[in-house]
Amino acid sequence: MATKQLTLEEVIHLARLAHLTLTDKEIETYQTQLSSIIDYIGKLNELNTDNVDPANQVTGLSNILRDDEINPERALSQDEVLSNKNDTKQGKFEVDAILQNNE
Amino acid sequence: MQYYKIMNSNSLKVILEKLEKREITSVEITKQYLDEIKKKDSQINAFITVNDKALNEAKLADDKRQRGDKGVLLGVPIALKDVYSTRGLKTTAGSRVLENYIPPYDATAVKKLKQAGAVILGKTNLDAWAHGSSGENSDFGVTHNPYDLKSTPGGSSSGSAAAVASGMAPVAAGTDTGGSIRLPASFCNVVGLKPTYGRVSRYGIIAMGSSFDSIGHITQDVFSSALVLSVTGEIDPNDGTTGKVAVTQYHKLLGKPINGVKLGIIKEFMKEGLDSEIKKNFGKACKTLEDLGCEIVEISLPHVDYATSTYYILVPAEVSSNLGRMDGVRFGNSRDHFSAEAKRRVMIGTYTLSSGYYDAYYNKALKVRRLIINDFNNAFKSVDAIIAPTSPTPPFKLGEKLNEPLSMYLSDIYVCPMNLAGVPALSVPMEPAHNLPCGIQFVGRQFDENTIFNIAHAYEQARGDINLKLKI
Repeated sequence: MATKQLTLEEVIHLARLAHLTLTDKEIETYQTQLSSIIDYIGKLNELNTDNVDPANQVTGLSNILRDDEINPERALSQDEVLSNKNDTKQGKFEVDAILQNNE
Repeated sequence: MQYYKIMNSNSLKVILEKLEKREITSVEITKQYLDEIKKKDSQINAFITVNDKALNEAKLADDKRQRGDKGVLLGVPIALKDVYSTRGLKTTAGSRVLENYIPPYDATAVKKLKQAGAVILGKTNLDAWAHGSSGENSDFGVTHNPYDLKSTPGGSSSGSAAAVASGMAPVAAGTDTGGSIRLPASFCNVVGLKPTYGRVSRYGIIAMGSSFDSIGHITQDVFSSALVLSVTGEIDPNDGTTGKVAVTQYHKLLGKPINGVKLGIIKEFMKEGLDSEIKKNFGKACKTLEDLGCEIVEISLPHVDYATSTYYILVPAEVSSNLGRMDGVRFGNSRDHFSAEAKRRVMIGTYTLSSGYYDAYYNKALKVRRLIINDFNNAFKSVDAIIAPTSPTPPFKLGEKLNEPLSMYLSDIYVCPMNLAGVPALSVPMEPAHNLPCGIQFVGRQFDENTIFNIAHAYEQARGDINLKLKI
């Protein structure tokens, strides 16, 4: 089977989809490394799986439901929820603006 | 001052007996392990965080015992891989993204261990996010193999295996998504359990591959392994995938004769790529089992050669989704803090899940996963358990595979198929190869940990001591 070669553009696109920032050197390294991994996993194409059910779960469980009730033992206080961030404001997380004001 | 060790054994049987007879206190044992960490860990780097409240917890355990409390692990010090959420104790997943993260709650497994009276010694080093087979992907420095400081201890539960092997903890919890408990156990001459998928709750364990992650532990011997599973095993309403089969007192069911037990050797593993000395030692282990009355037959897992490819489609896909939540908004640092392997896996997962490739890779792999599950089911129609070497090679050198991700992935060739099938597997030390540790794994039917514990326990007794010297 021909080696699947990712282009530099594809690597950049993947990084963008995954919200990762890569240096130029990383892009080059990943181009080689990801290509060889994708080539290796392509080995599955040797198998005929036409009549095989996909396995989404291994122990035979499906649709485990619970009552839609608040479990106070699991619920965290607002202080606990915010405890891992310094940049909080009025009991909320502060984030960068995603909309620009062009007025 | 002369340093005096109170415990010369890491076996929970010995430790608990001495605690119960009041020959020693939890404070004394905990202090011993903390001293060992102080003495050795600068060379091993097994711990990311040592719990500065460990001695207080030990004191509380001693007080409880004084009052007649009988927790199963009362006063036993235990280390936790740094993906176990521990309330108030830093949990990094081995990554700079979470270098300052302090969980506001305990994982279910941690809660259960604490309820049983365990004392938390600290949090152990690992490949960041549990991605790796050598421990070298940690953002907090590599861990060294206590039997050869220039070799890897195996990964991703690198610190947990090295800590137990070098006597810095009697028990260390880990996680096994594709061999991450068994491979390091094999490389460090200790016992490593990957329970059935869903036997131990994943709630509060930082997720890697959610349909694979198995929550297990590393111990000195099989008894200790069974005892800890009796504590951590749980049908947890907070993890809908835990399930359906009641937890038993695994440690109380050991010691049954194993004559007449039928064991299968995986034909596909016994070929090129398997180190000749490991093959020879595995043969000796088979002989020991036959002497105990087991019948050994060859079985075939026809699709097992496709396991690693299947694994490296499905797990990165789940990784890319699980690490999506690391946005640095609610906790942790920004995504710029991910290191090389996490980025690699997130991008592979993003690729195989993206439109145009989903059917060719992800959906295809789900189907091959079914074929591999069927292979195991068919094998278990004719045998009670499956045995195999845990690793095709002895521990490899630090740096040897670091720049070749694919060759690193192939280290897991004998261990990841069990995660695809969700079956339990237990790695136990066998005779060393090339003067380095190596393991034999016992693989059972789903939720049949009892059978593999019992066979492995009998093997361990018959095998006797292993002649290997720590390099520390």
